[in-house]
Amino acid sequence: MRTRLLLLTGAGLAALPVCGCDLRSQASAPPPSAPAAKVAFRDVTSEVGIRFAHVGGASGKKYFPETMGAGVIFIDYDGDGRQDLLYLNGAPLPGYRATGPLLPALYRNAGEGKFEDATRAAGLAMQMYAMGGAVGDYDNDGDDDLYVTAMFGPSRLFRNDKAVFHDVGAQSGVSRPGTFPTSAAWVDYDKDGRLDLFVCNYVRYASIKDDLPCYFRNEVRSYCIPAAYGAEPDCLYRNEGGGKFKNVTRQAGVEGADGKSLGVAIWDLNDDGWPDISVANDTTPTYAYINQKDGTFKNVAAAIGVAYGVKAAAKAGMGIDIGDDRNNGLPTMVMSNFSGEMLGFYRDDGTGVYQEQSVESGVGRPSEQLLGFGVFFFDYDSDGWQDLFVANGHVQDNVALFNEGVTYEQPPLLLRNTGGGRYQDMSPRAGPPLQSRLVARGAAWGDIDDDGRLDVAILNNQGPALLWRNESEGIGHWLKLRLAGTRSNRNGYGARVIVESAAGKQLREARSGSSYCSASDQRLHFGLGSEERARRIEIRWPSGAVDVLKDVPGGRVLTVTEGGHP
Amino acid sequence: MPMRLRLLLGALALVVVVFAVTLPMQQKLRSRAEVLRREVEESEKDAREELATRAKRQERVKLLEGLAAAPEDFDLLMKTGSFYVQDREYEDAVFLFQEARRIRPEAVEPYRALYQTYIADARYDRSYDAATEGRKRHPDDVELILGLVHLNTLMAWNREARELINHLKQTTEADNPRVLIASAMIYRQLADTRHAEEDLKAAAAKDPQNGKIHALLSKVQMETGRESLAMETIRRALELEPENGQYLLHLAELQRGLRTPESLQAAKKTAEKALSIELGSSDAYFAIIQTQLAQKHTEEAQRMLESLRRRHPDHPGAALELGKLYVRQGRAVEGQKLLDDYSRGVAIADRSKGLSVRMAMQPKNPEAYVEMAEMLVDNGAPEKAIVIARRALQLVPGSRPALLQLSRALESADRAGEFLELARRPEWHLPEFMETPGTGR
Repeated sequence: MRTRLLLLTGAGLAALPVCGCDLRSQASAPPPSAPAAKVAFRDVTSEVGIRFAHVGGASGKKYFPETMGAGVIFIDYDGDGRQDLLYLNGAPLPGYRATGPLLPALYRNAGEGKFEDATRAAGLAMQMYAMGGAVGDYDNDGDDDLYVTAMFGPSRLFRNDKAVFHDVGAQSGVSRPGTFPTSAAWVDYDKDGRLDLFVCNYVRYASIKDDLPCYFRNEVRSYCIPAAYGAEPDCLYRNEGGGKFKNVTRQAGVEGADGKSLGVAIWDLNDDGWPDISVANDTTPTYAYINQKDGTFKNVAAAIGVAYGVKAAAKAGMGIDIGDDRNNGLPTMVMSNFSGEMLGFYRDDGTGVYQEQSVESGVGRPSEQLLGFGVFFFDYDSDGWQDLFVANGHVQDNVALFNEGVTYEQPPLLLRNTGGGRYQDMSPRAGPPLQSRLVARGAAWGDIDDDGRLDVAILNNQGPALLWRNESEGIGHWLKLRLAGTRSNRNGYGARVIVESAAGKQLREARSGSSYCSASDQRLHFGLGSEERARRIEIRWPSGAVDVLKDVPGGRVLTVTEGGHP
Repeated sequence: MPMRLRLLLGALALVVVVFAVTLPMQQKLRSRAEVLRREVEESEKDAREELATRAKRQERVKLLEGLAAAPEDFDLLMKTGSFYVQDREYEDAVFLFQEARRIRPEAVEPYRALYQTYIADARYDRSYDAATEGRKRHPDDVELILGLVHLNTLMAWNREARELINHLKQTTEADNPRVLIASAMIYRQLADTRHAEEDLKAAAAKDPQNGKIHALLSKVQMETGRESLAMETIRRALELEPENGQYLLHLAELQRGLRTPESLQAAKKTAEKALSIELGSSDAYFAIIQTQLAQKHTEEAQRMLESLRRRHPDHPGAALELGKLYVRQGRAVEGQKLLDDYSRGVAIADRSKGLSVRMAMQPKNPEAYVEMAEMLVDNGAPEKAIVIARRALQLVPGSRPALLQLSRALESADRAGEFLELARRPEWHLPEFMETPGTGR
């Protein structure tokens, strides 16, 4: 175990691995990635029955929130094992002529490649200016609940009662109207077995009266820049049990008074068994809150090197994800940024210090001219190396007038990890959807047909919802794990899973959050490459329990219950 | 061995012995001679400076004698004023230029001179007054307009700067490279890189030998993520001005961005060259440090950072990098303090940017001006705060918050004596667009 930052571990305690499965000291030359599969994503949105377009309530007045929404959420709300899809929606703003209520759209995965609109049946037919959402079983009753952040009204906590949602936000204490909430994540930060809730807040914008009309060159109406507004502190709600939450933001030290937060990723950065919280802030420094194990956090972002870009300036952090893309047990933090900034790509160098490696990793140049939002690691070709997807689209619809080479609609990016964390831009060769130009915001991955090929859902700002099926050929073998906590929270959020295969030791964490305003498939997907079986699987639960499985056949979804394989 | 050879060897040995014995003495003498030579050079330099000072004094006496004989001599007043500006005796210079203005109010030169003198003295509000007053008589004077553009840009009043440039673009000065450069800089501040680039390219076409234009163009290209193009453009600027330290630093930044071992080495060399040209430049020194850090030469970087902090305790980049290093070394308290300092600076910059946007988008709203003035005073920029507070006062005459900030700013700028005069000056201008109701946005 290499020496890590004293600061990361609170009062100088050495960060010791919880079990003997620490990968950090075992990092070695990575085995090469398998030859690239024939990558093909296909737009199946209308084919599967999804017909939805996001409405921002715009009328030409260019109210700031119009250009920021919204997210897309994978959730198995009816517990049938299939991933359903929720696309969030805006609401009318002054000047917008509504012809009817604007609703989100929940699509139930009916199997056989079909989705059906279940919004009303599931109790979600309610108008709200929704931005993002997070999935988690906060009451540990076995079904996934849903938190939706919303402006101009309360955010909603939808308790799932047998596939029907009931808004219990107000009585549970997490609705907090009058803010500009964006992404959210469930996290059992105090490891009491109940999921707590972290909510990003962007800027001070309680109502439309707070809008500042802005003009490009003092002539052309445009969306204002975030600097024009003060920062709105984030929120951490502690789950007190009995359906009640307590706002513990201040005492937990995660207020982040200067941060304009858009994305949140949960990852145990210092590998001490306690979940840490990383927050992407727009034009203000990133936060990396290290869990002090006493109900408080300490922001160490500047010290570990993730607060600023290489030019020592805060970047426009939009979406965020964290993953082990080198199979060496060390996290990499990726953040989508503004055009001209490249993706932020910060890698733990083994000492708990992060080095910005956008250019070195190969993700920098392809992303240079793009404005990214949704971003996530996923192994789309199941070769055992986590790849990267970025959904792009500018915030100014007239940007081409003012920025040479920058467009409003922008292509997404699919970056293949060729092994060891070097990336290759596959976008030009990954099928027509990857050539399309979007104004993408939320993006998430999920496996809609459980074929091990991870599909992608995107929501365009004031544009259509999309679902792209992964129809790549020649991908590697795979295995998916669904965790079921018993002593830990039911979702197993916070569990660390290490799968050993030909590609080495892959590390994932079960968690909520990441990307931008969105939620991906909760199940953990592992590419096994040429091997049909995982040699060994080790699960370190938040409770401290460890389950080990050996020689596990792939090609299936395996449910692992906490304590079932001690 | 023949006798002759023996004698020869003996002589040689003697020479060697004598040489060996006298070598330290020779070195000592040489060193002493070097010291003496330097002392002579220093004395000569001092003497030259003394002569120059004496000549200047004599010139000044001559000018003043001339003025005593002809106190209304416009040219002499202007010349004497310029003399005082060179010597940084701004108060006297202002008096002389004001006299010149009184004598020939129709002449543009005194207004230009007053504007420039006030700028040099960081009395931006007075500079504003002088240029505005001059423009009333000379509405199309390019120097005065560019002066006002500069001041407006300094205050982040880009809207006003833009309108002035638009005015110039309607005149015969439309193709003047200086006008195009100023225009580009405003576009850049407004995040309109397309038009900034267009103006800079037009300026380069008019004045292709002007390295500054190419350097600015390169900056715009870098900011929009086109590093290779930016690299090409800055090299063109350096062909024209190979010894320009600022251009070299920009090149070093681009080289550092490539992140290869070779490019980092090249960046270090470029930054070192910049430092050799601009001795003592903290920017150049920091650029070398950044390269050291990228190359993971941590010990050397730390030594240099500590040295930089000793000389420039407020250098923000040094605080950040040193703070990170200290924290990693377990010097948590020291390191965190530096990091907190840096974060505070970042937060202030963000707030300042926000207030600038508010002033630009709500030019008739005095609150943003008052808030900005307060922030500027609090953060050591009272000279700018005076301009801003005066604008707030103009928008709401007698506004107590504005008066409070004006008095604080004047006090901080050692100009408290001007408070009553400035607080009572209702004639201080508002831009034309602000005087027309309903066009404030």
